[in-house]
Amino acid sequence: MMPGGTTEILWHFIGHLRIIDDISREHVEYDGSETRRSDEDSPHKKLLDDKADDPDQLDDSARVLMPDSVPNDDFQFQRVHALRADAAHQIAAHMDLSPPQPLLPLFRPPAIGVASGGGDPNITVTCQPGGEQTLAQAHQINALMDNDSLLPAEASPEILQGIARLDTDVGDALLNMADNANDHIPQQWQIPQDDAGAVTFVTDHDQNLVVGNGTPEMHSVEPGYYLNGMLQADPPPPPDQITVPDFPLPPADYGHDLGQWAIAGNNTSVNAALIVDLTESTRTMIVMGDYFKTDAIFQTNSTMDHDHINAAGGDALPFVAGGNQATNIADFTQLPGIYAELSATFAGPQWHVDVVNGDYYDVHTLTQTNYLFDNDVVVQNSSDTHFEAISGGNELGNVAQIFDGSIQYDLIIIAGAYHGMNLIFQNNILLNDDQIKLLASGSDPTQSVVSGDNTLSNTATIERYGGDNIQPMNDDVNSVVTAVADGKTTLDPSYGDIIDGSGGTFNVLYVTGNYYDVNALWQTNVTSDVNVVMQLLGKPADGLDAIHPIGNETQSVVTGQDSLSNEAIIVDVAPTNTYVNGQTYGDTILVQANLLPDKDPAISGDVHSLVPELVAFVNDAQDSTPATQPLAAPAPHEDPVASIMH
Amino acid sequence: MGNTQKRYDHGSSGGVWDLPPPPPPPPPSHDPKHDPKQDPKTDPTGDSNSNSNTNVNHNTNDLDNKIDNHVSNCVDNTVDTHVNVDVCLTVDESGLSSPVIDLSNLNMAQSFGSLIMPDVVNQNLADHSNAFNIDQVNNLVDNDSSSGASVTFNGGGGGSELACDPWHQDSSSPAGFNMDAKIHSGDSSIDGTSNGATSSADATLNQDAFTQTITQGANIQFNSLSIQAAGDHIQDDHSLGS
Repeated sequence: MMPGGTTEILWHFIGHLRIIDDISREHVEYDGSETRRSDEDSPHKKLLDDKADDPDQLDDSARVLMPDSVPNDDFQFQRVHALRADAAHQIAAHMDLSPPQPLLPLFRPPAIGVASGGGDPNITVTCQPGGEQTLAQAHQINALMDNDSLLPAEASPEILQGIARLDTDVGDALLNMADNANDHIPQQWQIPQDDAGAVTFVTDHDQNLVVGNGTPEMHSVEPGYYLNGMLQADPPPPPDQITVPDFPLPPADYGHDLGQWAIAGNNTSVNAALIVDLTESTRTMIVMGDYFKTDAIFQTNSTMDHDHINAAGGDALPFVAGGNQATNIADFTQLPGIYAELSATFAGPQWHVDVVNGDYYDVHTLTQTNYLFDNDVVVQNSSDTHFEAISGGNELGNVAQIFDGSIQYDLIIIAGAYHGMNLIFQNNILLNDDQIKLLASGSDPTQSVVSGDNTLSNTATIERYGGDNIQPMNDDVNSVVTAVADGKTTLDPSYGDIIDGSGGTFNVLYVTGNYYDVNALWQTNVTSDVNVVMQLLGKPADGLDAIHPIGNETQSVVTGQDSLSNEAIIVDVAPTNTYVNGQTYGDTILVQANLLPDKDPAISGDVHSLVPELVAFVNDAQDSTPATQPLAAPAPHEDPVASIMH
Repeated sequence: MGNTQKRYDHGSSGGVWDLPPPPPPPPPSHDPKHDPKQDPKTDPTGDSNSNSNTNVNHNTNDLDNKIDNHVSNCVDNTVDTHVNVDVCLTVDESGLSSPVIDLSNLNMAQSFGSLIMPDVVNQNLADHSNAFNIDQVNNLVDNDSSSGASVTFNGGGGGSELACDPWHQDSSSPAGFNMDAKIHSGDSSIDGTSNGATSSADATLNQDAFTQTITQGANIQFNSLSIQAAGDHIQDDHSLGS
């Protein structure tokens, strides 16, 4: 009902992505320079605001990053654009991103190698159970069956049987297209779409890497920006630098002239998702076991669009039966760690250690699916009217945003292995076979047909901050691990020189088992838009020109212009520095495919057989239709359909 | 968990058109009166479970037309949910393979008219942890059929400029309209256990002199989800639909 409705939502969402991403970085810098320093060691803390004793107040007010939800506007989507424009200011005001004030010399952190002034020079260590783990899984599904029929009379049994046969064959064709697309995704990557399945897959995948001695897979690529399988040297501007179109989009206006307009396509399906994972946003991570990190993107577009168009009796414009666009964009972006440009300070004098006994899970899985069946049979038979038949124009949208973690720990120690993986699966399937017939008699209408012009697009970005500075273990770092593992309550101040700190309390997460860091997205659009459209335009009645302009008649059919799109961004904030005691494994996987399956004979036969049945049906209906207007004079013009069909 | 179903059935009138006496009625509207309703549920605890199912059928005919309006609402949704909070994250490797595009969720036996959503929840975490499992499902069947909708002009040439004005009859130039419209709405069903999902089936038919608009599509399904897990258990989700 709202042209551009979900499109507006998508723009709002995409705007948030970049805004939050930018603010995340600004906030990290802010957090590392002011908030952290206000949480000083005990003697100094007493001179500060008492609120500093409550770490929650510091954390929640300054470190939580979250945009507004996509507005529940109740059909007032025009507000969305304004919200997007103001979002940055609103969030900035909420989080008080004012520049950090210079600290008094009394509170300035000591230089590296120098213990904090006054009192016990040793580092005190406090251990407690803790560590916020997350298992998040979500499914968003839209399923719409909008198989419409518009007929001049009650459908005959032959017509009903033809439509039922078409529905069955459409299902079979879609299953074949889905199987074909699945065949282009490596079998080993077809994993259960939930948290448990993802974790199990990652474990199995990483074990295979060990067995294969880290040999890259067949679809391994260099990180970068890929367009339809080709690495691009000059990627286009990122989404935050693209001009946002004006909203709301103007509704389609077909005027009021005589003619026939059939909109049986023009459907929109969109999935948009963002995951911002800040859980590992530390200065340093120490992995005592092996380190695994894999990024993978799989994208397919499948299109079947075989149309049969006939027009007679009018001035036919060039038919748009092709012009379909299928695009796959994958962007693997590596950015410096968030602490890379910030100066390091002494790590101490107080260490707070959150201990997780066992494995640690930071897992997010999100599935977004749109199923749309818009298979229509439309017959327009008129002569005296402006006749619009809208059986398409559906909009399906899934939007999700997940923000996890906070700028909390300075150091993460993993006694076992680190298993990291970012996964994005994006698939579009469009079945858009059409049978279109335009006939005119007694007038000279302009005839236009758009049965193609479909757009299928997948856009995926895995944007990683840090995680690229990996160093082998050394004795000093190992001594820190040993000290924490042994539960020592005091440390020599020299330990504060080994690991980078930000001043103030040094927060540590210690995991005794393995660490699972998984972000996985599945986005799928399946659209069946098979249409049989007949337009029969007769001669306008005598005398109609006295009250209605005649001479600009039109026959217009749109069975294409379907849009299927997937947008996904994973922002993975990794440690700026990583020490690995075991082996390091990493890989980047990419599969991109635009598929044009073979013509399906069943559907082609169905739409072909429906046309003569509809022609006979229209004639029979017209012959048997009694006069319903007691005051009406006999029709002054001849039967337009009969004159064409017989 | 709420599941609200609303049905609106406006103005079903039958019979053939007779010339009404003057004064003329207000001019017919060219715009279908679309009146989407929503009934979002607000949960002050932050866990929002809102299901609303809205069917809107609004027929506007300022002239007297024969209208046969039938609304059939059928909920046919199967949710297969297994919750196992005691099992750790170990899965038989033989069950790892799962097609990325899985159309088996659509019930072929019912011409894809129902949605089967397997939702296996296997989350086991200790304290100091967050677990989210959110499903948003919109399932709408809006298979409309319209037959016999017609608008014809039988006015003839006439000698008067008022020949075609039904409110000023000219006996020397008889004029008349034939208008007949009929539309069947679709079915709407919604998963009763989903969070924040809205679906609707609406069909509008607006018919006035010389302009006939039949809308059987233009449905909207929309899911929106926001999860924040940054030390506190906060979640927010909502849906829109029309």
